[in-house]
Amino acid sequence: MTGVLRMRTNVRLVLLGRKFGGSADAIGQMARLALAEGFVNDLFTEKILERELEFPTGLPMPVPLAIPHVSDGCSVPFVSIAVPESPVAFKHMDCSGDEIEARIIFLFGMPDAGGQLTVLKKFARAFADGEAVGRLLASEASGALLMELDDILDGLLDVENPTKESV
Amino acid sequence: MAKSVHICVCCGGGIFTTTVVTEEIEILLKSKKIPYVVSPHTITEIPNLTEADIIVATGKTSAVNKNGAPVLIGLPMFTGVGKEEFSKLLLDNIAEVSAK
Repeated sequence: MTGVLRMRTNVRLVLLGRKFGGSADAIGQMARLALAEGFVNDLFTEKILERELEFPTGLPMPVPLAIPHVSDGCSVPFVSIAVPESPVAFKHMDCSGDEIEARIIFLFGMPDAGGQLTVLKKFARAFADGEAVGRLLASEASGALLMELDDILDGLLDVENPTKESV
Repeated sequence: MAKSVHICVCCGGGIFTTTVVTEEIEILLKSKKIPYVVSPHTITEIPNLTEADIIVATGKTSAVNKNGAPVLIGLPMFTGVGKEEFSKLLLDNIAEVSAK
């Protein structure tokens, strides 16, 4: 393994202005997109929903957000991003039961979190940067959002060219 | 050789926060040449951790350790906001533990 592992994504994994009927619905819809890409299997969907109940991922950042993630059932490190039409309530990561009204959701599949450390750290920094996350929220198209995010993460996203055949 | 300080990193959010916070703590302790052991745990384990000198939780928690290990809130190590203050707090706690 050489260099820094980047995180895969593409425009089909981005949902803008979508309506969700709660956190489980959002996670379910996003997991289905990853399933369609062949990045995960059915176990992933089951485990990520389960994990969110036990270890919720709502984060009280300048722009409230949620980062559901799991390693089970996932073969390719990827991120899927949703900007819901209206905020979606996720439970607070501290397990206090508080609710975080997430305005953006980053769903991760990470087969090996250690190998993804560099990009995860970039994400963590980005989450705390309200201005940067605000630019993502303001994106009018999925492609533009991904370009913005890749810029924020210093090029550590592996954005598939949408004109190319997906593998 | 000084005894290693044992830090238990306790996460609610799971692998993402654990990975980032543990790495940041290791960088800090290595730079200060402090011998350490870091182990991952969940927030629910906090009361019953017997091996911990210091506990770092990634969310806020009111849990108290039965053996009296201090519980620090390590979210700054995740986001980078307030990282300097947290680093100082952690080092102060390590100094106190080591003095015992």
